[in-house]
Amino acid sequence: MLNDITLGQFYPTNSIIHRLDPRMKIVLTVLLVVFLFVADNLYGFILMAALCVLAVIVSTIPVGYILRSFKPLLFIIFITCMLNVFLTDGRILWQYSFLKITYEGVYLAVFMVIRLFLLITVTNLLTLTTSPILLTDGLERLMSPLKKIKVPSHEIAMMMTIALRFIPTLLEETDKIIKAQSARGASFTSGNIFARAKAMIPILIPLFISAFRRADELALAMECRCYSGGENRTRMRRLKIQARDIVALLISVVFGVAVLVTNTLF
Amino acid sequence: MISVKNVSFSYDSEEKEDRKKVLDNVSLDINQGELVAVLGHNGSGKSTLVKTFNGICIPDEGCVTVDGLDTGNEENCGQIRRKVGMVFQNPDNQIVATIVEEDVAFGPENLGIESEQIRKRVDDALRTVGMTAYASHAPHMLSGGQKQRVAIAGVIAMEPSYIVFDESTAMLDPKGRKEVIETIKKLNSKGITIILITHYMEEAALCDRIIVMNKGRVEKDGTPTEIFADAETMQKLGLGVPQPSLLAYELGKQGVKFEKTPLTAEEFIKEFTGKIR
Ligand SMILES: Nc1ncnc2c1ncn2[C@@H]1O[C@H](COP(=O)(O)OP(=O)(O)OP(=O)(O)O)[C@@H](O)[C@H]1O
Ligand SMILES: [Mg+2]
Repeated sequence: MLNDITLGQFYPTNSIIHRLDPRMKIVLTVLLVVFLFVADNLYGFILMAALCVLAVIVSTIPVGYILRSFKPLLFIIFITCMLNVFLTDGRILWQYSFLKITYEGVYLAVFMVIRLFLLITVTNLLTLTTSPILLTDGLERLMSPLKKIKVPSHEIAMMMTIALRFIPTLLEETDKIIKAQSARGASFTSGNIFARAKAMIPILIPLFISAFRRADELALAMECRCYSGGENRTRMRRLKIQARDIVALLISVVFGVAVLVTNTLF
Repeated sequence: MISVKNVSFSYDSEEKEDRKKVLDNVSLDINQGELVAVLGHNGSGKSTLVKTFNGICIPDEGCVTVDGLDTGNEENCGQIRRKVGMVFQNPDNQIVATIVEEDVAFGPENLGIESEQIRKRVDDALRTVGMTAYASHAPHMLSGGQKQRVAIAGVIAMEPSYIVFDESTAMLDPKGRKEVIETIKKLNSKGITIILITHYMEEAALCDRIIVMNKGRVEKDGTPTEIFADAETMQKLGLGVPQPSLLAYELGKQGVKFEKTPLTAEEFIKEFTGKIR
């Protein structure tokens, strides 16, 4: 029942985007998000959309896969759109009692929707093309200069790795507990919302106890394997910036500059 | 050599009266290259004993030295833990990373070894346990025996001289158990000292030496043939003996004396057919 949850949403196709350095991909994602917020006219958005489409094509990820990721966010996009349409002041296009639609409102709403769709595409592209392990690795290395101001970058990355490692294990366990409690006559699908919430207790308590026991054993195993925090730790994987990373950066910067130019022209 | 001298240990507990000695004046030596089984009923202190070998538990009295390094000395801690590896019961709870080879690399990474060197060690370790084909798999997709072999690879990538297996076969099916036992024997033949805690007498019978624990003390220490000859004492200690040894023991009471206690069916048959002819 819980088995069909995919971890993260990594979609391996080994395209050139997949092979980019994860650090570069994270930086580029941040950069593109900034550009998307800077863009304030139609041409800017066309440029950014073109860049996104290009990236999707190069990544060779099926378009359906990317479209699917919009689904859970459609409602939020719709609400943002409506708020913009109805609550912006300006030249009135249509009016009915207190409801009014303004020219500026429609204009803003359209931009907002385009912006949100592109934002989702960009961030999804990062998680679709980067395996969770590379992602945490990239994050750890990007954040490592922050150690000087006491940001525990290694610890954060370690926690993410362990969380990713144990999500499938704990899901499996939850499944087992649900089955065991069902066999004892527990019902999780009947009654009102309070009854259902109460029915969750016999699942959560064993799950928590087992998670703590696991944590205890894992900590012991890590200690036995000489783990003592991030200090003096080396890594097997070497990350190296290569020509393709520079090219990707250049392309993004060119598009970014173009967006800025459109901002001043229009 | 791991040498344990007059070691007593008790876990910290709130009430003073509650502090019963989990290890009570234990002394033993484990020599380089040995394959030692540790037997004992639940709560007899087996796990606690092996935890003193790598400084997870520091003895209250007495001392443990690994190749001359005292575990009581903080400074030796890192060096001792890379010498004495440990594999536990539940493979799920000792695998840290989301990819098999990343997990095997975890130990060497902690030791601060250089990247190429780690790569080599990981490849070697995976080859030794026969998991090379699964290097880039996710651990949760593997079978129990395979997961346990990954855990073993993670330990041997640190190139330890001693490996402790604390009931590492307890959660496995017969096939997984066989895989792990074969890996253990292979490691021993490479010169790694193995300390094997187990509740399976057949596994103990494969070892060079058996240590029997009871109530925190070493009750018996000897070769499998010696230990399993006395089925009655073993049963008193809450333990069994392998089926062939038990049969030989019972036959012995009927007057059919065996020269050497058989540990396997083959040994039994060999001795027994000799008698009827
Ligand atoms: N972390 C702990 N804190 C307090 N007491 C403990 C702890 N671990 C073990 N004990 C106690 O120490 C005693 C010996 O435990 P130990 O785990 O060494 O036994 P064992 O021989 O390994 O048993 P098993 O066969 O069940 O693994 C037991 O009575 C146990 O209750
Ligand atoms: Mg134990």
